[in-house]
Amino acid sequence: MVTHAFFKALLFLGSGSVIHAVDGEQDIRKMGGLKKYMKTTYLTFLIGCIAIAGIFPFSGFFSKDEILLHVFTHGNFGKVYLILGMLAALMTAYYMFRLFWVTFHGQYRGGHDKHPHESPALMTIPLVVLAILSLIGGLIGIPEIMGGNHALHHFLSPVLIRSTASQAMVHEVSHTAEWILMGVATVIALMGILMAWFYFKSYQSQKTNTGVSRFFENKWYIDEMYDGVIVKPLQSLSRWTEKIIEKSGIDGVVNGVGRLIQYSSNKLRLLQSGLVGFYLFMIVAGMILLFVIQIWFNKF
Amino acid sequence: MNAIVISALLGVLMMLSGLFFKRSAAIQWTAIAGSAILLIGSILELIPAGQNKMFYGMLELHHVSSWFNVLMSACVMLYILLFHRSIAKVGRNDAEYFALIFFVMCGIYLMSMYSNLLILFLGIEIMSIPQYIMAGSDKENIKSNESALKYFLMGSFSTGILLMGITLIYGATGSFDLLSPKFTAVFQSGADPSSLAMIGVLLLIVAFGFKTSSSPFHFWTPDVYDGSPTAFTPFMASIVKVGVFMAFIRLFHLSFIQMASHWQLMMALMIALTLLIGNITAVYQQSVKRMLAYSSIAQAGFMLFAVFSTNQTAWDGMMLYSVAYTLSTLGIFAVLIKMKDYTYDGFKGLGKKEPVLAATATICLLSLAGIPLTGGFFAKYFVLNAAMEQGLWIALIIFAVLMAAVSAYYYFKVIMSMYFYEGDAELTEESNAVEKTLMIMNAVLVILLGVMPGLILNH
Amino acid sequence: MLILLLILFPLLGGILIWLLSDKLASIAALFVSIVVMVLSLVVYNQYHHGLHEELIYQQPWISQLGATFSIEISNGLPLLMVMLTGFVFPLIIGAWYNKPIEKASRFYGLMFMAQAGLMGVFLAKDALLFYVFWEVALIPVYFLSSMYGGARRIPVTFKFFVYTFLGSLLMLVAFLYIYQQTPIHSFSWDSLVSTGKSISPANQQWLFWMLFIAFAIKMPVFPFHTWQPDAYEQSATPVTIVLSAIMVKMGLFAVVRWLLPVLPDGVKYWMDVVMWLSVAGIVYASCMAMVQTNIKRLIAYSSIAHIGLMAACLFAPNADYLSVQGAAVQMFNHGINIAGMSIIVGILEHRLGTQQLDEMGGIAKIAPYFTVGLVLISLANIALPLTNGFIGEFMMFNGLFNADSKYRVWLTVLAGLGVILSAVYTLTMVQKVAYGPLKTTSMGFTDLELNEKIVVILILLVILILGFYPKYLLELVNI
Repeated sequence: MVTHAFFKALLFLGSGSVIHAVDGEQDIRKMGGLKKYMKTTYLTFLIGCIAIAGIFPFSGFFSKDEILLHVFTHGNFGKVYLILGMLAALMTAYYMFRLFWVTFHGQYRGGHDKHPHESPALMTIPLVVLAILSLIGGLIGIPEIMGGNHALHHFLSPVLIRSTASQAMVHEVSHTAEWILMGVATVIALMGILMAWFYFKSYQSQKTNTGVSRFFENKWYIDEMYDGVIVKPLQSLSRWTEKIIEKSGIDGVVNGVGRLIQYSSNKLRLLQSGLVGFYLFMIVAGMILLFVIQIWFNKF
Repeated sequence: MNAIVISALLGVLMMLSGLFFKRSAAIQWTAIAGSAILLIGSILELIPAGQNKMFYGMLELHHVSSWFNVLMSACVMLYILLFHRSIAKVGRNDAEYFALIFFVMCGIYLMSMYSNLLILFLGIEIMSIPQYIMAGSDKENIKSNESALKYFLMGSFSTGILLMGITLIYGATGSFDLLSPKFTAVFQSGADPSSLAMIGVLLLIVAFGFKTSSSPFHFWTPDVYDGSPTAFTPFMASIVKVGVFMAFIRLFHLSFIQMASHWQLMMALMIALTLLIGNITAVYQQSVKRMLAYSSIAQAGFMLFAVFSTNQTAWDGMMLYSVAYTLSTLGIFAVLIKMKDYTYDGFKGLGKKEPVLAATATICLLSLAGIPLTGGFFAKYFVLNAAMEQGLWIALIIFAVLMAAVSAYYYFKVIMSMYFYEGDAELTEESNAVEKTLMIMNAVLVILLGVMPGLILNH
Repeated sequence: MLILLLILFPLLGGILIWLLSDKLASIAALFVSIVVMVLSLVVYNQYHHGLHEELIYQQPWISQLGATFSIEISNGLPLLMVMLTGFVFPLIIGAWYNKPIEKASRFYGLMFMAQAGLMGVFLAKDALLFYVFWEVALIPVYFLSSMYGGARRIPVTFKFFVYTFLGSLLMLVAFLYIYQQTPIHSFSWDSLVSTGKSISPANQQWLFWMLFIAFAIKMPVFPFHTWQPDAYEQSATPVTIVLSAIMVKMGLFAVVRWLLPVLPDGVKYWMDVVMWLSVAGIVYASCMAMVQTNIKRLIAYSSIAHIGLMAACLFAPNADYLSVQGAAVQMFNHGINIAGMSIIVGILEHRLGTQQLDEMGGIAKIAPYFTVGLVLISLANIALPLTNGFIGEFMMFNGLFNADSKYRVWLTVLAGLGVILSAVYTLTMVQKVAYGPLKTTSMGFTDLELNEKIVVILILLVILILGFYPKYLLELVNI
């Protein structure tokens, strides 16, 4: 998780830097060839990509490897999860490097009026720091077979009291299996990178995608689906809840108590009619009532 | 005896001073000096422990009552210091007004020291009759006349009930003397009292309930407190009411404690009703003076807890409540009497215009609402604690704190008017430096009681 | 003696500042607040080196009652809260240093009285003293938010006041009840804890609600929360920060100190109900936050959601108190983050004169420093790893999932949903404020000034340092 944070943050900041460089353009089809304009961003972004793809010795390798290992040892469906995990790793490597090739290699496809430029130090310094952390971050979690000591686990030990149990479980897996898994993971990641390189090495935006590719290009229409199925209904539900439950319901009850007191105050003050006869009547009536209650309950 | 004699003599002296002095200032100074002598007299009488019998066993000065007398003398001195100019302005007979105050004090001392039901009756009457006059002292004001008449009519009615109760108790015991063997044989033997005695005790509760403005016998209170001249209302609402409570707790805790189960239910119902009617009705009032009248009913509900709970904490609570409530009431009325408009709107902008007045009023209102670091908090705290010590009546206590939250509503409305709303609070007269110093002193005392309530509990 | 200064210094400082002229008030306030911060650091140092005798102060108070004036830092939680209280005030005063405040001396005077009260709440080891401070902290805040703020501030603050006052009176009744059961009639924490255990379960069950409602109103836990969005929206932002960063923590703190150990059977009986309430509150408040158009209301609801998670975790029974530790860490970090968030929002509100999200947009183009602060604090607020918010949230989820309750999976899933929603509305808010086309209503925005830069950088430093290296924080909560 923590190593993931390193390179995720790195990639976010890197893309921020890229977007800054091309004056707010976020469409990668209008970028390309940025390598020669922004060296620092290029390098750090590359590190981030390699790390997220999970290539040795970058931090992503160890964490991903460890996760796969955990999954592998997890119950009966371990194998199935493992395969799914491997597939996901492949896809990750593929799409990250697609992004990388398209953005930084090939020709610059933005308009000629725009001049890409490197970001200021304010942006690049965190990039470099995070890149270094991504690079070495893995080392603090190096598996035991490589002589590592899981510094991170010690670092977070108060947090991860419970994870020591699963840690013990991990060690039951034979070291051979661990080596094999590592190898497989690396190979898969490399495959993904190669695929991306093959398709997008010299990407040209003029090509129109059709069919499946188009479907993918629109991110499977997932955004639209999210918007229609989750976000919109949730928002209208929330609006309704705010109006009915929050304002009229809960707050209505709270304010209602206040209003009830006001109302009963208005009614009760009518007892104070100003007529002495009425007062005396009330005093006597109250007296008799209280006496009756007191004496009645005395008997029990 | 000191306090009783001095206050009675002072009453006569004040009446005569009207003949000797033509200037009102001289009369006022005599009254202030008189109250100082009264205070010294009651201090000299202070006894650290035990009790002194006096006047052929008709009076018994308990160490608590001696301390209570000192506190009340101090309070009445503060009252005269704060209000003497306003009292003199009520009408032409300024000397008589001060005389009435000292007569009332005489009644209060009798009520805190009696050990005979006849003295109790005397005390209540000596305390009540001057009040009827005070209520009607603003002769040109029809409201003042109305309130005096109402007070008198209903007061006589309650006197009848009081006498009835005393008579029935006499019938059951054959004695007025609370300490006589005949009396204690009936009430403190542990046996169930006869129904004659029981009805007598319940009638006494009604009479006391009337004087302390507990529901359902409170009906005179708003009309009288609202109609009386503002200079006298704080006196009636604080010192007098507290004095009656002292007589109440004294009789029921010293004499009728063995038969507590025979009157506690009635008292619990009275507490619930008093709190409910006092607090709820106060919410709707538009005039601060009338609101304070209802609030004094509500506060009586809390003080009834002290009578209700038959333990030592209740005595502490009663002492603390007496002083804290008296100081707070005097403070808020000292501000109120300067206002031209008694409605909430009339207070708008006072915080900017008169910071000292507004701060005093705020501290006193916080104390009445029972916010910590003011005397009012510990007062409420002690009486509720006493009731909790009693056990079994937790629902009543929860109800009481709910009502305390309601009371915050109307007290804070005044604070909101003073500080948060723009306005031009008009005053009838500027308060001078002495009055401001006294007000600050009053506020400081209220806070001091809220930090160290032990100051008045050590006795 | 040292910790007595934590209360006395702000109290006396507040009174002195009130007497000063308005011009001098800001600088004096900054000075006092920094001294208090340094004091809290000194106290931390003492605690760290195990010098506990300096961290206890006792005086007889009301002997008739067995109440003592006893304050103590007995473990890491009060220390964390004291440090939070110490840190937040200089940040507020620093950020408002360049902004005009009407009657500044009165304003800062009341602020420091509130600080003294808050310190007292966190330090008190005596139930009666705790109650007194609990109310005393409320009164200055009541005056502050009634005097400074939006048009509807007076009724809104009043509702808040009466609501919390009602709750605390119920708390008083519960304390009185337990006090009457103590063999030596004492209000001290120890005797309350030892007596509370022996109260019959049936009585603990109703006592639990008396205490819990008082604390729940303060936190606030759904459905006792309706005062909060209004109060946040209408109060002046410095007061909102005191409310949101510190005062709401009073409720959580009180649960840990005065509810969990005192009424164990009551807690055991009702914890599932409370956890469901809290978790329902997370989702509910997150949904509310999504549709808010007022940025301060949005933050109010997001705070309800975050507090809901902490509340649920406090009641989640764990063998090793993992979730309570997580909540303790988060109480501190949430305090810092919400203070940062509110300072950012306060700057927005001050420059633009509006709280409406619709009228903001494209600020990133004209104010890069501001935007960096906004983005990073928002990320910390949604508990991104490497920010301070992460560590506590991780521990809390870990604890909630491993809780000894049959609903643990459902509770964790719902709470997790709340976290996702929190990312949604926070980032949407950031996007609306900072990105998109520059709106005409936002044209006049100017970037951070020097004092604001310092404050924002300090907050970011705390966020990042504690995010990268939470060791010292975690040490403190090792119960």
